[in-house]
Amino acid sequence: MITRLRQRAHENRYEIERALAPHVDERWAESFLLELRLQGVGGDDIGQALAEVDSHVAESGTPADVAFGDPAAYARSLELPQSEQQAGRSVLQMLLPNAVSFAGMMLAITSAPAVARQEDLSLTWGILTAVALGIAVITALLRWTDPVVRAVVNHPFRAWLASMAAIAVVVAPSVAGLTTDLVLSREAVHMSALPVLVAGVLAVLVVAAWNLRPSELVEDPVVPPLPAAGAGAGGRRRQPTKGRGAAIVVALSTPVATVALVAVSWWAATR
Amino acid sequence: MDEIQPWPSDWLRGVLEVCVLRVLADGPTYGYAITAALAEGGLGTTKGGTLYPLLKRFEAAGWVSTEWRPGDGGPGRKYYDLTDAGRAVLHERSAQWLAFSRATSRFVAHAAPGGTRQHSTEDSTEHGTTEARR
Repeated sequence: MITRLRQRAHENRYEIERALAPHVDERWAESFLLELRLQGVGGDDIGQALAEVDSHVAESGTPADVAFGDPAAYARSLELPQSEQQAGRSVLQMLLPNAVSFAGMMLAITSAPAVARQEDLSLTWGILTAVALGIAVITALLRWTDPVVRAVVNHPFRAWLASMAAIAVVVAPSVAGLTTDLVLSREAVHMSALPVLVAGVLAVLVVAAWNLRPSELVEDPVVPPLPAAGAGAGGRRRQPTKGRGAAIVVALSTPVATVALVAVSWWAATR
Repeated sequence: MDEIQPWPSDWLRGVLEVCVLRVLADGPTYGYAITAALAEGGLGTTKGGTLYPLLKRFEAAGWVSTEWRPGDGGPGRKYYDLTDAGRAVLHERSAQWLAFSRATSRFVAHAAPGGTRQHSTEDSTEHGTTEARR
């Protein structure tokens, strides 16, 4: 079963490259496509560039790395324009809902114990500091999106470690507030807990629903310049199922995590 | 024009622009056909990685218009055609190039084997001092 899964994963991995550039080495085409995506080039332009490479390779008989050299260098030399969709502002609009979702998750988790014990919510300075740090991190990500995306793509494991470390740093003040008797543990805000819990959960659910809209899951697909012979209607291709699956997992990760963490803190509070 | 040895790449880099414009002047054509025409003309093999960024610059500058056409039995081809602006640039650059190459050829003529024989009458007086110094 593992080999079959791995086989399917391999078949799906180069689906776009094989469809648009069947004569080009798959790994070359994938690197080329990825570099263009990282530059924010639109799906139409990427499709054209890829088709032109394919056409040249097919007719000349020379492989892509001989005729075009390093795929990332060639992609940069084309100096293709960024698409409207990929421009910085729209990336911001894309990430803002996730910032709201994160804030909602934090609110839900911190208010759940208070609701469980039927007390008022007492927010310590530690928690407020943690929220402020979280907002600062997200703002930094919004500001420097391109370098961050590039780093994540090129070094996924290091990026994962860095994000775990960042989460630890953000959460640390609130944990420290619970355990020690510093300023962080002193109360800053005193309010009714249930509305905060409800607001947090609502924020998370609304953002998740927003991210799961069908149009959100298919963004600026790479299209060939001419409809492929016998491929049916026009230029729009169905997004490969692998991409859509990943988008759904990402959209659901925060709500699932929120539910889990709220349940855990509720249980811990009532013990 | 024998091309047993490839031309020095920095020479080609300078002249490729005007040569590609010249190929395009003969009518709408596509990338691979352009490399074939250049090779036929004795300019050696032009790599896709060199040609297509150049064509993209032409497109961005408005010197060519482009059109995708289905290939014969193979993948589709992107055809490039000179615009009026492109034609004007071609005329200007080719005139410049001819003047440039005439000047440089005359300058180095004595160094090449058989050069003195071809240009002896014309250039011995002009470059008499250079000869004496050498």
